[in-house]
Amino acid sequence: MAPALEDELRQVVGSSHVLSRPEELLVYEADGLTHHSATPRAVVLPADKTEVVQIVKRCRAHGVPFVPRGAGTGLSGGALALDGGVVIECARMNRILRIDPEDRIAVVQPGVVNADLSKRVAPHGLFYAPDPSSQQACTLGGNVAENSGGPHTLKYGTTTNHVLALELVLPDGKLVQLGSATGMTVGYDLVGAVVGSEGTLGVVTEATMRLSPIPERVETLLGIFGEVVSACRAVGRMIRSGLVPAALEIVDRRTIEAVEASVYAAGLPTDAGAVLIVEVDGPAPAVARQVERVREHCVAEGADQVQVARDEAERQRFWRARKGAFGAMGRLAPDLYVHDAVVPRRKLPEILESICEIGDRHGLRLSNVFHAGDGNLHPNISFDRRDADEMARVLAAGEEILRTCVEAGGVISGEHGIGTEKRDFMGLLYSEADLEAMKKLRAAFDPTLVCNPGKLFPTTRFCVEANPKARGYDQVPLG
Amino acid sequence: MAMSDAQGSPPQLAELELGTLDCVHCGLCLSHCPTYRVTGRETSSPRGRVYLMRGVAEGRIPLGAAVAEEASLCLGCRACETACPSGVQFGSLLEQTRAAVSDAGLRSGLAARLERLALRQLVPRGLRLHVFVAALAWVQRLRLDRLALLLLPPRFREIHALLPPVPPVSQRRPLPRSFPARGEPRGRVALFEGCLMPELFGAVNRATAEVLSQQGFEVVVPAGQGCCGALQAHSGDLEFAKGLARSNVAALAPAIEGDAIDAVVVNSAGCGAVLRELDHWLGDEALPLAGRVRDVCEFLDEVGLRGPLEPLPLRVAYDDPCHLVHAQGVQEAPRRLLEAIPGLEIVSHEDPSACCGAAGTYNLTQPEMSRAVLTAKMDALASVAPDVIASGNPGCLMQLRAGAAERGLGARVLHPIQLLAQSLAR
Amino acid sequence: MSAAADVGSLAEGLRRELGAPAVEEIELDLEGARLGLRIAPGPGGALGAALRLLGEAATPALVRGGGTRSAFGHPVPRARVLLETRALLPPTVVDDEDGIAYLPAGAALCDLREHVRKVSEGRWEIPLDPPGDSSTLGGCLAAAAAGPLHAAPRDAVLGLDVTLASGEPTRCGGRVVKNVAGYDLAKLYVGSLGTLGVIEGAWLRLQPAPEAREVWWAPVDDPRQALAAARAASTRVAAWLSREVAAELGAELGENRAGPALLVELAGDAPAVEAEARAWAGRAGAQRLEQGDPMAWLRARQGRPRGLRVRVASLASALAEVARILEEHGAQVLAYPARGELHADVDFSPGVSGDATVERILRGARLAARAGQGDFVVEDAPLAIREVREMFGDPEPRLALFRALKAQYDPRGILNPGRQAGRV
Repeated sequence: MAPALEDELRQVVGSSHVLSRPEELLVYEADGLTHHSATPRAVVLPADKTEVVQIVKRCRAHGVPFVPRGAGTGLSGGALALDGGVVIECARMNRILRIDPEDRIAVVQPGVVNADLSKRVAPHGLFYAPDPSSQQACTLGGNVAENSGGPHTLKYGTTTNHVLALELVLPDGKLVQLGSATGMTVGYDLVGAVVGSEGTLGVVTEATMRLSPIPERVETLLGIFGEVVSACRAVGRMIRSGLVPAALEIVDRRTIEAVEASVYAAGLPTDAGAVLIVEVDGPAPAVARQVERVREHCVAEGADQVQVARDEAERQRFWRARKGAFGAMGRLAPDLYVHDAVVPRRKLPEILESICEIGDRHGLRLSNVFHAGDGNLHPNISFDRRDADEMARVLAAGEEILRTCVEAGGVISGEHGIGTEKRDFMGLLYSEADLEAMKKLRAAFDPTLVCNPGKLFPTTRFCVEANPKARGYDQVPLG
Repeated sequence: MAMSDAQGSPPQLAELELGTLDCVHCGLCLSHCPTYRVTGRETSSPRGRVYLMRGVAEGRIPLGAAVAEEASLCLGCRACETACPSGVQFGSLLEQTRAAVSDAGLRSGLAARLERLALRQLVPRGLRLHVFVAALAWVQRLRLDRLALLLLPPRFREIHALLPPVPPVSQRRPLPRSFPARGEPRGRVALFEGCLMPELFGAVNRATAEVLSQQGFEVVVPAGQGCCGALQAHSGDLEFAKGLARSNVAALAPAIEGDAIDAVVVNSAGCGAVLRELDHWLGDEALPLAGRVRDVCEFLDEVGLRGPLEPLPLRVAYDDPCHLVHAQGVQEAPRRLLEAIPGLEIVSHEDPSACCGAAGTYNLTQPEMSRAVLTAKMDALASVAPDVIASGNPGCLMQLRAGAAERGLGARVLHPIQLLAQSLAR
Repeated sequence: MSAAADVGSLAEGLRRELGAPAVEEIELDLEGARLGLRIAPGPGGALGAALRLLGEAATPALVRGGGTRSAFGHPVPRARVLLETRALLPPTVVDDEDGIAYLPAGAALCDLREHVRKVSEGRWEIPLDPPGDSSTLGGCLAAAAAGPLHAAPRDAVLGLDVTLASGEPTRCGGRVVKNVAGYDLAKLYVGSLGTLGVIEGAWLRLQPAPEAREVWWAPVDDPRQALAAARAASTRVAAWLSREVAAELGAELGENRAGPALLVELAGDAPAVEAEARAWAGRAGAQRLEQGDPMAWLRARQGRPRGLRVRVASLASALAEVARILEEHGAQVLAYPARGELHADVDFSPGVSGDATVERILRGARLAARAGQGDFVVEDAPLAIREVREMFGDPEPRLALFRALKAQYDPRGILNPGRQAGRV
């Protein structure tokens, strides 16, 4: 009985595009979050939407769940196939179907790599704004599923602000068009609901993305600080003053050391406590002014030095260093847990101190490289998953960090999603009724829960005790 | 089937595991991997292959057919190393894996045996190779090869298409043992000749020696040097390759001793990559050699060209050999040298540092994938319509030449040093 | 039988829960509904209790904020209760250090804008356009009301407090500016026309007030020519006005203006605005408008009922064609080229104008939407027309999902039933 589904899938996509040997399945057991794993039943690589429709229908007929997957760079276990599910790997659906420079839109298949889109539209003076650090590998389909962010979301918004229309294979195998190329919503905003739904509402087979004009002028500054906390204060000053840089990133000392030892070395000062990367862009006269304002804010918070990237090549090096930071941490230990939480920006200095204290108390190597302008923290913990004791401390510290952020009015994920990683922490943030409201959306799209089951929602009662403070306005007492 | 649960030896696996631990699964390598780009399969990506290696090393999966297939499907281009922020030594891991696959008897087909025979008994044996190439020249001259093609299975057509016309005898004569420094002397270098280079690309070796000499360097061509071992190591015959490496260390030792030379200059990226990392194979004894190895373009760029350069009004597409850009980190030097030639315009095609699919003997062992990778490369090159395609590695030159011929591109395919030699001719 | 009699027993229960002053028996025909009860519950428990009682009695409510957008969407003939949101006034928070605010759904957006301006000493603005003076925040969000300055309320919303039809209070999103913890339900509620739940309050992202601001006017024949200007770097709004609309504005400003024109607001850093203004000054016929507030006029015009109005979305490249089609079908056109949005008005007086007028503009809208590869909605139409015609382009392909959503969030159909696309 068991092999029947695989045989049907082979008929749909051809036998070389179905993987089912144990060795092949092993490599699909994890995404970027290596300490969560689940072995899929099979991996199937469709070439187009008609194949996706067929795959979904076959899986459904066999009662086998399925999960769409992009490049597997997600950091919350979102692409794991739980319950013996089938992975629908979208990497072969990697064509840019249409570029319309005048209308500033591109229609893409889900497997197109994020950075490739910007590269392809650059000759038209355009770019695709959301730029997650994994942009040279991650796919736009994955970005849609996770509502991915990146450094430049501070000014440009996250993926949801750049998706105009979607084509979706519903969990029952029907193909629907949501939204329109003009971005207009008629009726319920289903595009808005699907973006960030972590692949639980269907399989995206086409997406119409908004492109942005490359700004006339871009300047990237490095504020070099003795302490990471003073860099945070400089960020607070800029936000308060109404300055909206294109990006505001903090890289701490441990991260600088790792990056500077890697192929992404950019000449960041390894003796600095932290570097604040500030990018301002826009019309040339405005940028010149903003550069001065940024400089003043940094100096006011005690920056040792403020440098401006000398040329485009140096700018690119800074960004490559920033975006290679996660991988570079592999130099410190075999595994890396990249956390993701958001706090109100004015709380950054104290939260960061608490996080470092938590790391120290658990005897862990913790570093911070994050989207400071959004209050989006990424405490990175280097560890070795083979060391059970260390693993336990990593998890304990992670939970403490999340609780600290939530108590400060923050949330448990800014851009990585919930997946399997944080499903049992949803109760920190949401009441039972809040989660029920989300389940209603799920039920409208996928009443039988075959599409990426086991994600996003708590599985145990362990953490889900309704949080009495999980309401909006009565949670306000803040500073 | 009996092989399916074969395992490598414990020390081999321990070393392998240690190497795989550098990978934190970030995935930045994926889109840089030619085989991943063609297949979309995680298994055929660097991250996936490292995961397989770790799986084998930890005993979670057997060292069986699936792993062997992936080890063999990898081009070994090492583009992933250039992309890896964590510094995973992928080339070295691949070499160890292929050796383990080979030791476990997982490469036992007729093709594998023929390949090993050729790589052990023909390629590194100078005289035999010379005779073989001479015979090949006669076959080509009498057009016997066309006849043979009618009789042989289609796969041989691919191989045939790759074989360049054997150059005339005048270009296959051994190089003189030394070239004098002309003009104001600037130093002394040793030239590494390689095995296939003298037979199939003698003109490149000669151009290399002449340019160095013209630039004021005395060039010595030490006797006793031979095949570098790259092809053998890539095919999993690591111990044999190490043997070849030892004899090169011995042959070049007299020249290196007492700091008598400034550099060992190599014009084949594949050989250069091996020689440069020879200490990985042989330990400290290889350091004096490894530390002196320079690619010819890198060397000339470092010391600075001495003019005058004659104009060459050509549009040149420079395509990075993987083992130069990814394994040796030499990317800008050849471009700077070419740009120094008046009238020469470098036209930029997409992804110049992506593999062309030659990868040593890969185009023979994995013709399908090699073709897919070459197609993407030729698409990129065709779109800029260059007069010359320049690349500094014999395998790439053969592959690109075959690709250009098949596409009907008018472009000549040359080693950058040949363009320099032409421009410096007077 | 009177409308009040239908809801007699319900009224008692509601009085008990909400207190007598919040419940009033009425006889009112509104939106095709015969309403017998008007309630204005407060936030939290009161709203929840009211919805629970409505659910138990299976009595639908017409949910209403300021009423400025009540002609948008289908009528709600089954409603018996008028649920007014004006008492949904949870405490306001303006965090001017973080540039965010928590604002009550029942308050008038104009008042809230003034409040934020005052509290932040003019440094921050609410990025929403109130269609009219009485428009509430909740109403603007539920109707996804677009104005001249801000096309998409969805992008301003960080989090929402929503009481579902079941009476359960829920929250989605939060106060932070980036958040992917769970589904982005705020997107679903914004623009849902009150059919899924009742918004009580919202966390909004504020925007820094621009340092400099200037309004320019230039004659431009073709909306397509307006596109480049609309996309200039420091342009905050660019509206293209067809002949009649331009004349209307001229009259407002006490000037005689003939011919289609472009109205542009430059806003942002002073040096950028200055540079842009210099470019405008060199343009034939361009003129800086220094008196009145043309943008406020534009907002008010857009909020004012005209009798018949459609909004069409178009790709930038098709703007001129779309505008032409709409004008050909008898409409006065106002276009926002940068966002591919066109508003087409037809003066319509019930009893005087005939069915043919309606027929004509709807046909025009459909053709225009097709030409622009976009979509259209009817934003304003007399009740009689809304009773029989679909107001939301062609919802058919998505109707099954719309219905499934409604069934999940409001299974008893007590919140504005039938108002949404496809009469969901």
